[in-house]
Amino acid sequence: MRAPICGSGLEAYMSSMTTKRWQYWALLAASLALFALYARNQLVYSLYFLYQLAVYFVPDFARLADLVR
Amino acid sequence: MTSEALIWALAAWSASLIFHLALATALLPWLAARRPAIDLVIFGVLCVFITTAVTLLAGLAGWLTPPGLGLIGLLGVSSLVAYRPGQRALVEGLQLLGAIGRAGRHAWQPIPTWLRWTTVIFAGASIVRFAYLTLLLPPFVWDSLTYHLTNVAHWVQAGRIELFETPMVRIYSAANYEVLAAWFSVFFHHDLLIEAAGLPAYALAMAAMYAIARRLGAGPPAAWVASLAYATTPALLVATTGTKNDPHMAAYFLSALALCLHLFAERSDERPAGLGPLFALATLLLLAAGTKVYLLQLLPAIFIVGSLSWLRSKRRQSLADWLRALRRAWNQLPITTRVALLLLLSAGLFVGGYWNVRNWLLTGNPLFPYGVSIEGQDILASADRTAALNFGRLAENLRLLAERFGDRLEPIRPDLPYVTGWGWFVYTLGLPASAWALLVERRYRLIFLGFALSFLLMLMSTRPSPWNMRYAIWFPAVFALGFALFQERLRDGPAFARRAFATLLVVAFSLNVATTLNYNRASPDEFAYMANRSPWSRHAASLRLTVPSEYENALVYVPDRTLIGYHTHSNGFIYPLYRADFSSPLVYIPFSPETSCSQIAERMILAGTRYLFVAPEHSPDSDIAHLRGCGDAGTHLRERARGLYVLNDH
Repeated sequence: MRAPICGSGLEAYMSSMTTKRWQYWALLAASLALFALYARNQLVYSLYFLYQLAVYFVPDFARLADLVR
Repeated sequence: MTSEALIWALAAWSASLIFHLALATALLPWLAARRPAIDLVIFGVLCVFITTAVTLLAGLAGWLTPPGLGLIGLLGVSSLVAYRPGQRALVEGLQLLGAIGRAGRHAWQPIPTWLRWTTVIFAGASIVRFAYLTLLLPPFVWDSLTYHLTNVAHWVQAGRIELFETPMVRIYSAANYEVLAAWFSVFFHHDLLIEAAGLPAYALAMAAMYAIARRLGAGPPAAWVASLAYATTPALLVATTGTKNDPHMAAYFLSALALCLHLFAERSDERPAGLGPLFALATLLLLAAGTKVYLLQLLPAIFIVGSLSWLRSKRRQSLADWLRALRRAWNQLPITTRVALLLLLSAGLFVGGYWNVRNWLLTGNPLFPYGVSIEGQDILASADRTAALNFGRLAENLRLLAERFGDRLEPIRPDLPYVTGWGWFVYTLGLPASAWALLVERRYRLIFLGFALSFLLMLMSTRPSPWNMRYAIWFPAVFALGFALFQERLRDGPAFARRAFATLLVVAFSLNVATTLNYNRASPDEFAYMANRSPWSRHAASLRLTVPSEYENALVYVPDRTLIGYHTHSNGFIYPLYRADFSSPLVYIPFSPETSCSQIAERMILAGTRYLFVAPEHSPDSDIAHLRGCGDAGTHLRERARGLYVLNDH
């Protein structure tokens, strides 16, 4: 259940405004596009320590990563 | 540390902790809003405030020792339990905490399964992450090693809060965070848990985000998403255990907004005047005033959110009416409650004003060592750096922000060099959802306006530098709130959208945490190197992420508990020389290239030390070269190890 909303016009305003289906699609598309852009900037940095850990604990992982590359 | 000393330290710490929790519980009924989310925020604020206030008072009295704080705790709990109004307040406070717990259980019920699992995994991962970062790595962030923790180390070593001679004038800065960090270090006389001083702020920020989202109209699941989203923001995560005061300021700012929304966003005929939460807000702002001076830049957001909420929601009640209602509420309070509230406010004034009043009395500038200049006009003279309010800085900082936007230049590290640190959630989900919320949700516009105004003021006044986004780690919270409002609508949305956004959220949260596992700095080898040492000998000097090897030389070659003379410039590391257990006493030895070698030796003898430490980057190059010349001449000093000089015996 939605939390009680205070303020005179807000409740009426919100209840009259349904989120149209296209808005979900638009936001999802925008999010996915931004995800791809941000991944280009930060994905390697974000996963690098996990990769280092994998190599540290399983030395063969480096060879596997080389093979994949 | 012997096991007997450990037991005594734990006993003293327990007494102190129980006293602070009991006092916060006893004060809660007088400040409570009787809204569980807001009451949780107020309880968190009280816990941090009481710990800071008690430690500050004890420190100024020279009782910053385990027996001193333990005894205060013991006496405090005994008086609270022995005094009948104290007993009543304690019982009522426990009932309120029980109500918060019940409300938490009630709020958990509508949370969807995927979010429950995300929460459980996030909580487990956070406990492990915070534990290993706190226990394995010693402090290494620049400003901590220059002045934040230098204050802490000196105070714990001396058993009192005091000024001391050092070239680092920033030890004069408002230091409530350092007082809290001292409380985390004093019982073990060690910095093993010093990084945990950021954790109360982290928890408070999460509670405040939940409360704000609820006040904006989000249900418990969406409000919890807002809280989790902000809690996984890399800028906040790396700062929490980074031994700096920025996470505390973020938590205080968000808590103040939550209290403002509670106080002013509801119609007056629906609820009482809110005297208790108003006192809580005042206490919180005073605590923040003594933590970091950039509260001044955050106040406009708090004012805007409070006043616009008032105008929108309290139209039937004038300011005069509200003040009369507050006065009536005050007059109806029993005398013990009034005394308790006035004592709390006085403690707030002390905690908030102590540093600035001390600096004003000693230097004539309450904000010493910072100066203030507005559009080229000097308002307060500077000793170190100047907070200038002008449009030139705004333009330059906006240009820098545009460069850093999207975190495309560097990995996200503490101090946020060349990045915003807002992370995966903000840039992928937060931005579009906030744009949507700005178009659709009127109440969100109000909160966004407040955040934006304070952010612009911050950019207008902060010195342009690669690292200044660390002053704005509170800003990404506004995107989490925007997403919470979208998430609330999503509950009635199509199944594909719910599933897609849930997946994206989990991926964004996971990547945010993954990028902060090692601060993007420490390698597994460095973790292993520190893990192989005893917890009691993990010195900041041993971790070479930012600290040059000269510092470890000093700890190796100078016998423990021996006075070390040091010569650093006004932005050099001092803290690593204290050792992790604060056992090395330090003394500053000033000299310049014009000082003769014999004069340097005389100053060392006068100060009572045989050793003199310098380090590249942290001591002026010309002074290092001069000292090296003295060492090469060998008449008064010789080089014992790189960066460490010792008096000749003859």
